Amino acid sequence: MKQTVAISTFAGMLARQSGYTADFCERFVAEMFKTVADTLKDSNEVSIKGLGKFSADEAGNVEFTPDHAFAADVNAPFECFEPEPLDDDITDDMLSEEDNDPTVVKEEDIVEEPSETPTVSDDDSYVEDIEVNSIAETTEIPVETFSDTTLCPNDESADETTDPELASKALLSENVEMHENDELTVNDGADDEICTDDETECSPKRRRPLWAFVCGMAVGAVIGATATYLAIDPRAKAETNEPIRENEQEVADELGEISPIAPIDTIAVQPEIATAENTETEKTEKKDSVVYDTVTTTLAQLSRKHFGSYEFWVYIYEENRDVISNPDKVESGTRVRIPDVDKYDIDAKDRNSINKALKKSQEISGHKK
Amino acid sequence: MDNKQYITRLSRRATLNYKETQQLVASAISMITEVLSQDDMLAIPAFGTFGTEKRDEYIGVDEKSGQRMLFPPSITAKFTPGTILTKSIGNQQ
Repeated sequence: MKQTVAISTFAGMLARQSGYTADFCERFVAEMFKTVADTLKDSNEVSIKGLGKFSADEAGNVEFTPDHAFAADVNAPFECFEPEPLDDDITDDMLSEEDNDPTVVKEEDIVEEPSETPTVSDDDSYVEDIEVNSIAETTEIPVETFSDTTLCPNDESADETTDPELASKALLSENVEMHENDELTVNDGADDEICTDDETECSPKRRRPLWAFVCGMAVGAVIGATATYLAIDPRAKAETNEPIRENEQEVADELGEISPIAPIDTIAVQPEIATAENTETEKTEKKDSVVYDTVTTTLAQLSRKHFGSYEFWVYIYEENRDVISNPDKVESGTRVRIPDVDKYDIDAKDRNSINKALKKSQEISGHKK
Repeated sequence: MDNKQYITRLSRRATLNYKETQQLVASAISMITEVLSQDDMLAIPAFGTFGTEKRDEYIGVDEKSGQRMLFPPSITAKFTPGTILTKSIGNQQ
C-alpha cells in the first residue's frame, strides 16, 4: 500500500540519521526545496548531485530528471535485468498469453498423458508420431504412456491391446528410445516380459494392484491399531494406578502404618510434570512469537516494514533500549526485537495510535536533546 | 545552476557551512531514496510530490540494430510539481 510521507515524518527520519533536531531538519528540508523553487524562477534549471535535475519551461511546468545513481537506487529491484534480444517468431501475444514457463506446460502434459492412454493405445498413428518425432522429450512421453497402458490392469481396453501389435508398438518405442536418447531408461524387466510372453503379461499386472491393496490394508490396520492403543493406553494406566493406590491404602490402614507415599508422589508428580511441560511449550511459543529483524538504515524503515507506518519506530526503540543507546545513531546490522502490535496498540490506520507514537517520539527527542 | 552553486546558496540560507550542508543534503537524498524504495511518496509542501512509477516489461526495437528487444520492468522516480510551484514559476516568467 502506498503511503504519503509528510515532511514532519521525513524530517524526523532525517534527524535520526543526521543527528540534528527534527525541527531543524524540517526547516532545512523546506529550505532545500524552497531554494530549488526560487532558483527555478531565475535560471530555469537546478542540478542537485545524487538527486537529479529540475527544469522549468516558460509555462511553469517543472520537469524532474533523476540522477543516474538516484534512478539506479530506486530501480534496485530490477537493476540486475538487462534488455534481451528477441527472436522474430516471438510475438506480443505469446508473451502476454501466459507468464509461466513453457517447461511447466510440458510437465503438466506428461502428468495428464497417462489418463488419456487407453484411447491413445488404440490409435496406430500414435506410433507413427513416435517414429517421426525426433525430440527426446516427446519420445519420452510415449514410452511412459505405453508402459502405463500395458501395465494398467483395471482397464479392459488394456487387455484387448495385449496383442502382438501392441508388443510391436512397445518394441518400436523402445527402439526409438535407444536410437534417439541414451538417457531414457524407462523400460525395465517388466516390459521385456510383456514383449516376450503375451499370455502371461496381464497376470503380474493384476497382482500388482492386488498386492498394493493388501499392503495398504495392512498398513492401515497397523496405523489404526497403534492409534487405538495410544488413545486407550493413558486411560488404562490411570485405571490401573487407582486400584493399586486403594489397595495399598487399605493394607496400610490394616497395618496401622502411614500409607506409603511413593505411589501418591508418582501420581502427584505427573501433573506437575505436565504443567511444567505446558509452561515450557508456552514459553517456546512466546519465544517463537518474538520477531527479530536487522536494522539496515533507520528504525523508521523497520517500523514501516513491520507496522505499515514510519511513526512507530519509538516502540522498536522502547523494546530495544538495552541494545540501542541512541535511536538517532543505530548501527547498521543491529539485531532488534520487533514488539507485538497489541503491546503498544500499534495500528497504522488509527490516527490516535499514530499521534500517540508521534508524541512519544517528541518526548524521546526532547529528552535526548 | 549546478550543484556547487546550489549548495552554496542553501548553506547561506540554512546558516550552515558548505560541508555540513552538503552532508545534510546527501542524507536527505538518501532518505528520499529510502522512502521511494518502499514504494511510498514524499510530499513537500509548496513544492511537489516525489513518487515512483512502475513500468512492466515490454517489447521494443533497438533503433541502431533494428533488433526486437524484451525490456525488463523498471521503477522510475517521478516528481509531480505542486500547484503553488507551477503558479509561482509561471507568474515569474
